Amino acid sequence: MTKYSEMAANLRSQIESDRYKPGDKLPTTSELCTQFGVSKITVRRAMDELEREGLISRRRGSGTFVTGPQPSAQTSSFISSCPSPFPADVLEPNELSYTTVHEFSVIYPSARQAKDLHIESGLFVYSLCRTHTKNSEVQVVEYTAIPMNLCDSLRESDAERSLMRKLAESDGLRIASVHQVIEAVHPPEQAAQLLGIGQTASVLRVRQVAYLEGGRPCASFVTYHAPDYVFYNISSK
Amino acid sequence: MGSYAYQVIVDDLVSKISSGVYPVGSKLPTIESFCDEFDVSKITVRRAMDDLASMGLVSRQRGSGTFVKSRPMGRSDRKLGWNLSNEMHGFATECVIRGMVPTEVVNSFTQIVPPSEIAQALALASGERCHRMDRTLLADDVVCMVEVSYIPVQLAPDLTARDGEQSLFAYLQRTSGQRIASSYRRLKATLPSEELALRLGTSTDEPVLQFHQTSYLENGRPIEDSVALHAPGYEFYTVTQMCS
Repeated sequence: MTKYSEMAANLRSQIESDRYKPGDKLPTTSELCTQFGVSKITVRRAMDELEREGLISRRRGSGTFVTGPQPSAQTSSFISSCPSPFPADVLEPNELSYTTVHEFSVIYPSARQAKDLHIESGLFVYSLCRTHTKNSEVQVVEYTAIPMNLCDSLRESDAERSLMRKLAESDGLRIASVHQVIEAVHPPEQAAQLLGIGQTASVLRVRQVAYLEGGRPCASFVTYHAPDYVFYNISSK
Repeated sequence: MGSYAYQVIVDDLVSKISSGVYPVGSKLPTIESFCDEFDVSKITVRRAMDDLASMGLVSRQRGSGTFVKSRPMGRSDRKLGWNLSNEMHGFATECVIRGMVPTEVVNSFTQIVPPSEIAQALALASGERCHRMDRTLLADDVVCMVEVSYIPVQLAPDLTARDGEQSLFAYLQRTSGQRIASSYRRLKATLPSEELALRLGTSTDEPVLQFHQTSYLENGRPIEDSVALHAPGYEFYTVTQMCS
């Protein structure tokens, strides 16, 4: 093996073993020359190879950095959908803040629900309509669909608390990610009634699908929010 | 953006997932077979998988493999608006990525001492001035949004209206010598005023999404605070990874 590819292999395995993590700054060219006992040209060739592979990024004036998604980026993404993609998770139930179940049934999914949940339309889903009240005001109207074959013991009393926690605790289903599509819409009749507003109002509608590790969808939601509801989001590179 | 090996892998897999070569729900080939196919190291393949996971396209299950979770949202899936994932691109780049032609029209451009909440968001000293640029942004000649941006004069002393007609995002990165690294957004549903409804080509009773966005440079310094109103039909798409 040539000197530079030996050096590249060495650095590559250090990056692989997290000795250098994404965002870390690598030693300078002269430091690497000394460390590996090679010439500047060898260092540069090794860096070229690693840069071509997308493992490092050289920024003039700043140095050489290991590329890759930084842990903080993922964390802030979770914190961002403030406070949580699941309204019922946030509420500390008390007199002023609580979840009310308006509908709880087992039905065939709509075409859209079947598509989002990757199930056939002949399989049953739990279908729920709930409202989440905070400080005595209804903030969110939530329509949820959960495939019955994922959780066979869902009760109406479970629906008054965090469904996601229930699924995690008694069914071992852990949500790994949530996809959300947010739009501004007129609320449909029932949602408008539950929110106590007219149908000419402008509200946020969020369509979400929650996925388990491994990519299997486990729940789909459509939520309508009170008119002054603010949705937070953070993007970072 | 250079032609990194892992970028090539990402692009290749995105197109294969999109076209159904790797259908939703299917398990992707192993890391080793991708190493052979693309002639790269394991860690390069793993980086590509990281990207695909953060785009929401695949899901990794320890011990079982990597599964295709969903298809990338294509332009054909949407009406007028498009999808903005957890990425940092300016409007012009978002257009180009989707094969659309961006146009940015500057309606007004002044320097002012901004209202206190904007001064605060931009970490300006009292009495410090900022640019105020009001623009209409179009994609393929259809109005997408109306946006008012505030930028500290100190960070972009030579900014002109002309610069607002190209990519403001790219200009700010060039001038500051840093990337715009993060963005804090607040989304609300609202109804447009008469003037804005006219500019957006809609009516005052059509719901629209309002974005209040503050963007930060790599060193954490705020570079822009903007409020934008999107044309009706716009959808904002986001993927949240839950921490375990």
